Amino acid sequence: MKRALPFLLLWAVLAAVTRASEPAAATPKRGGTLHLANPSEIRSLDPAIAFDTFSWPLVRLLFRGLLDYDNASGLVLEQAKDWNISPDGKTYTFHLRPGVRFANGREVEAEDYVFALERILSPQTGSPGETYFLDILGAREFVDGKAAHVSGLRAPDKTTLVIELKEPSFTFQYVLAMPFASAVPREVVRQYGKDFQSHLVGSGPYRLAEWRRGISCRFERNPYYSGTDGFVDGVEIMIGGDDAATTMMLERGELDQVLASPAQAIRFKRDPRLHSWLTRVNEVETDYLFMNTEMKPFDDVRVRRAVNYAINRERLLRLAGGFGTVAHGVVPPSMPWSNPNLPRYDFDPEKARTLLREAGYPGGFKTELWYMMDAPIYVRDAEGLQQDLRQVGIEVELKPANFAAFDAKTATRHQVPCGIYAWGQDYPDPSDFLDVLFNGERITDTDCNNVAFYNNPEVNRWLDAAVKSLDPGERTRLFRQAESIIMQDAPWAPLIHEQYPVLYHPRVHGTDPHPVWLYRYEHMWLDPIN
Amino acid sequence: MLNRLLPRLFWSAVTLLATAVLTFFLINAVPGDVARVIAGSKASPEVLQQVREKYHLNDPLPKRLGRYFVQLARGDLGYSFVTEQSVAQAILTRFPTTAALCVTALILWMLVAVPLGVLTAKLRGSWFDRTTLILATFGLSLPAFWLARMLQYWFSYRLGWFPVAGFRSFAHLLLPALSLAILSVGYYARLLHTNMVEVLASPYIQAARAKGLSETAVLFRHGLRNALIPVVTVLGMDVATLLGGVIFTENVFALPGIGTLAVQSVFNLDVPMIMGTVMFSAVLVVGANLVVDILYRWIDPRIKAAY
Repeated sequence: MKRALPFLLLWAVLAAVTRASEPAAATPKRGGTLHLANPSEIRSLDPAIAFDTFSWPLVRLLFRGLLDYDNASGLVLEQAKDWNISPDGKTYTFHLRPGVRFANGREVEAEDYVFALERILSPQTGSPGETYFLDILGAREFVDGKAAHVSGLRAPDKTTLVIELKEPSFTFQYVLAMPFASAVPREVVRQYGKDFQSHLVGSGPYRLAEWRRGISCRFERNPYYSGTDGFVDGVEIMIGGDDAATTMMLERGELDQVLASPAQAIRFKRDPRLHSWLTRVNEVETDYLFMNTEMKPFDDVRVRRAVNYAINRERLLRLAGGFGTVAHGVVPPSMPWSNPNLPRYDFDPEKARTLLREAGYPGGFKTELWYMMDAPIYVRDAEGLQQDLRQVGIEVELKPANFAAFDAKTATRHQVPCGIYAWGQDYPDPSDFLDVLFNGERITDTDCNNVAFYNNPEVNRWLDAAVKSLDPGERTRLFRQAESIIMQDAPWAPLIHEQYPVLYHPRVHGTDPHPVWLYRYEHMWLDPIN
Repeated sequence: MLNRLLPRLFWSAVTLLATAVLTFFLINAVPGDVARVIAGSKASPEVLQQVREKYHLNDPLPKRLGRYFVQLARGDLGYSFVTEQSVAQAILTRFPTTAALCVTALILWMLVAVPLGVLTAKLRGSWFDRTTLILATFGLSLPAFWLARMLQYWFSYRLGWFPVAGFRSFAHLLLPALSLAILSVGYYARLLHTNMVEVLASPYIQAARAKGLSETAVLFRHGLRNALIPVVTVLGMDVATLLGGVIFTENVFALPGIGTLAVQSVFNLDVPMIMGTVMFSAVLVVGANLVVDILYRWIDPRIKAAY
């Protein structure tokens, strides 16, 4: 022990010296190119079309709108100077920040926002965001072709935008922060029409330098951008490359970020040299086992509760490489809203067997479990669940399917008794989970998001009241009430809240994950080369 | 000439047509709702309905196939369901990469296979011949995806001699091309060896030697030229095999060619793109066979006489 002391001292001095030199490196530096990879083609970077966790951070490099989030989930002004909501909660007035320009040099005008929002609603655009904007007055008439313009959208002058809603909506502010509502230059969209996606022009910190579809994509600075975002001079994305190749590229310095599979991430986790390259990003999602409440035997609440008790969630999480947290409720805890009073179903096979006996299934039963085979995590979840359920006498036949087959089948009434699915956040409000997935009034025979076909009039009432309320405190109370009843009725067995294992090369800084955008490439910066 | 070529052309067209029909029904036999793939899992019923109408997904299959053929007849391969990009354009953007990869591989393996084939024929039965035979058999039996991954791991990742993956410069092509070349070099070296042995035993080679020609001239000018004829045929027919290998190699090295396009579109259930890549590959294979047929008569006049 004594002999080790001089070495320890030397180590301490060295550590102090190294640390002393670090603050200089902690000031963000401008310059360099950030190299990213995406295993498959980027579907679209058009803000009206793009709608997934990989595209959104890229869309935000090119396009910006009125509102944005701060480092947490609080709304802040982005390209608007100020805003106010009328006392009745129906009219939103924005004044645009002067001097904000598109990448073609033209100043952004209020009319561009009117155009952009009408474009999302126009059936010709085929925007997946259409339904979010139907709260705007006159939107339905416009969608149905009964009006040439949306009556609730007005630009009284170049810098003032007025949006009028049919009914007050608490979540509409979040909808306006979605990339769908970004400013687009109307003359450019009119010129190219559908082909706008090959000639993207926005008011974000970067502009598209080159996009070879399915091959690569390159961003460079927007010379007209006047905001503060954007440290790197360019962002380059390689499209393609499997997990093994991209992690090797990362280690050789050919890439700066890799969204890794658990298998590769575990290698980084265990290697002391690479350990610090690994970060975890909350996906703000819930993986769940849904049980079709309209189909036997899951129409019996005791059976659904028994399944909940039979699941060893800790083990499922370990099967997922430990990337995530155990789920006890519907709404992910990484959302700025949580429910401490939920009924919990901790692993208890004995209780599960008792409940099954009470429900009239003393020897268990046979059923089918559907899941998507394209995602390794669901495959592992399904196998884990099969083993857990066998312990209480439930024999599960695994039904793997590709995404398209799975999605169509589960969304159709009386088709799938139970299966594994996931839902992720669109905006940081519990309605995005509870109202969308559990309001029985939304059930349709096909294409239904409520895959448990759960319909409890009491829950529907709470949800309707919560959605209509504008008071944050009251909303929280009502949503908690609804979630508690949902968990008692147990149409789902929540499994885990996944985390993405993300690897960064040590030369990249500013990589803190954002609770909504996940990755903010415009905040990342690089160590200068030598 | 023309009356011999016409039946060939006719049967080529029939092959292509059959490929199209078969592929079309195969893709559509895959269970699943393409509209969901296009619109994403969160799409509303209204959006899904719009998508189905836009792409005529509600029509019966034969009607959709008919529509596809009308479109094909106009020379239009359609548009990707996923990116809305023109299929023809996607293929044309990517084909140069695949072509460059294949040509580089071809040059690499011929550079090795030709001297190896000639030398082993000349030194038949020697230890050199036997070792080559063993190595060739070994190379021939390697799975394409395994070899590609091993080369990538050792030469790029561990030794850093080549870039790991992606396509930014010619250097990115070398290792994938080498990987393809290793798979083929053994086969061609042995093929050439067998032909050379046969040719070297023929009377005209004896005559050439008797004339007092140098051994190099005998081997290369008289021997190799004749031994190469079957190699050209096999090469033409091998386009299909090569394209198969390309699928694996391109995917391991993340090369943006036809192989990665095919795999991506299958994963996306992007029907027009799958049809496009399959039809394009089919045209390449059928075309190569046709060209070999024609070339063959030109290289070896005896074949023309035989008809």
